[in-house]
Amino acid sequence: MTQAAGLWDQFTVLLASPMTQRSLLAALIVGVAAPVIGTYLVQRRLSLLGDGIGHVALTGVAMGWLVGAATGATDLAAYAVPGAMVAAIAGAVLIEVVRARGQASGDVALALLFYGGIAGGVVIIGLAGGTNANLMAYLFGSLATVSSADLLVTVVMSAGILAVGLGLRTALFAVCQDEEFARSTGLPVRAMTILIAVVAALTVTVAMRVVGLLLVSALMIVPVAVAQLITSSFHRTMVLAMGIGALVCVSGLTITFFHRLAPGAMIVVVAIALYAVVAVVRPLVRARRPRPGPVHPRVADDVRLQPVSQER
Amino acid sequence: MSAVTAANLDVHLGGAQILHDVDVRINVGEVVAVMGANGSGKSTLLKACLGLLPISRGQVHLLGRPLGRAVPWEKIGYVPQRSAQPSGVPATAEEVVRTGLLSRRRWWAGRGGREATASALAQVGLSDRREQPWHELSGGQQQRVAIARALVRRPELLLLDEPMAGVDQPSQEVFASLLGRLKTERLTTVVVLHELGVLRPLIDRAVVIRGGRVVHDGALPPAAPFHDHPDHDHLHPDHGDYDVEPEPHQTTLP
Repeated sequence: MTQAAGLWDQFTVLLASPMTQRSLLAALIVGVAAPVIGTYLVQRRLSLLGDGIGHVALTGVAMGWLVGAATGATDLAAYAVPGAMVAAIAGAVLIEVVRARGQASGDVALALLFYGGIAGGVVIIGLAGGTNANLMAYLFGSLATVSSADLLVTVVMSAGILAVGLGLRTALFAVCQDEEFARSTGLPVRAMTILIAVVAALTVTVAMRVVGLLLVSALMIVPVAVAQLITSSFHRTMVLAMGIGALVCVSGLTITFFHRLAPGAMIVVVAIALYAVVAVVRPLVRARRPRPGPVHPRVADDVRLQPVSQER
Repeated sequence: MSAVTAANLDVHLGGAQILHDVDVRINVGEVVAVMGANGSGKSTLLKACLGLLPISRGQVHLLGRPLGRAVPWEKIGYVPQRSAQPSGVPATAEEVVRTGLLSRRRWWAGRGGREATASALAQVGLSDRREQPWHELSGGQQQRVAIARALVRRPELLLLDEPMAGVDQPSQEVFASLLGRLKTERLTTVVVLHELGVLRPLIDRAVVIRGGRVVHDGALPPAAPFHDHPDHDHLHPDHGDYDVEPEPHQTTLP
């Protein structure tokens, strides 16, 4: 009891610190925003797209660093986030264009982006006079050092992601659910798939801060994976995934206040643990829910069966 | 006015010529079956007319406008053969039908969307399945959801690709009575079919495609032997080739 009280005191002291407040707020906002676009990616069976974009964004970080070095900026990292954003958008659009061509090489193109993104990042950061250690903050996140300016960027970008992802949800759902039908309605399907890719790239850039580029896709996909275990509609899946994203981000980060662990990795571990718990508990809960209407309609089955005979 | 006009249509897919010089004209208010064996090019013709496949030669006009942005797409309802694979995220029947309200300029279901989807689902006899996940429905029910998604647009031209293939009998009956009702409302309907089956009395004209060419355009062809028994149900999509030679190509239109 006294130990719990001690922990609570420790927590309230931490909460009073502006730095903790900023990192909690950033985690909360990103936790809400990332699963929105993740829902569309899961719907389109493009769960790994976020990973591809994340790897490309690393090259962008290094290129931003190179630009910083070339222009003699005092803070070499100043151009890292803009660089990541530009590279992520370019990579996302490239993947989408290759995919839309309908070639079987789309899978290979994604693989090339994965490897090229990481290798390019490491080589370019060397050229810029940095070391792999400089990349670590981007690879695994840096929630502990969120500045007020960082927080503002996070808020603005997340607002954009939510505006597109929620505002256009019927149209984006139509495109993801049945692309051929969506084209027959006259919707600008190509433009909308590219829009999804661009918003995914923005999500990667904004979530990079929280969980790092290597785990960025987990924050977009795992909350959706948990939500769809329980829900039966697209809309409810998205809303629940947003809630789960916020929950795992805040709780994962809070754990690292008490144990010196990497926040990004902790958030993903909490999310996957939640998935495991829900997957185990769900069959127990589901079994009790009655189905609407008869499972098998009364229909003639078009086969003539021999009268059942007793002997064999 | 003609609802669909395809003139001198050639379509190539993957280097092979699928359609050869196809000429088809469908008048407003007609119910036309496009028939043929598997691989004859009948679905390709439908998709090419909708601009879903590239056309190598010839022109298509829909509702009097050349294929493209000028076509009033909000007046056209399309029912694909198998509407989409089960996707990653569950979606209810109502959510799927609601996407039928969208068009080039309409990106939101908007006001009245709920009533419109409810009435479209009622038309196909699935009011009680509104909240059920689409992937839990039977094949026939999924097909009816796809039809509701096309009807919610209140189309002037309805294009259906094999709506009876692999569909259970209640769904076939619902579909036949629905088509009969739509016919009285003078809705132009083009339906790609293997066999006429229960739809025979509703169809005005048949276009038969063989080897990518129109080989018949006119009266309904008789069913092939063993397919003409009244008890024969066409539940399986993988037969229906014409053993009987259809009448020679008839160029005059009714």
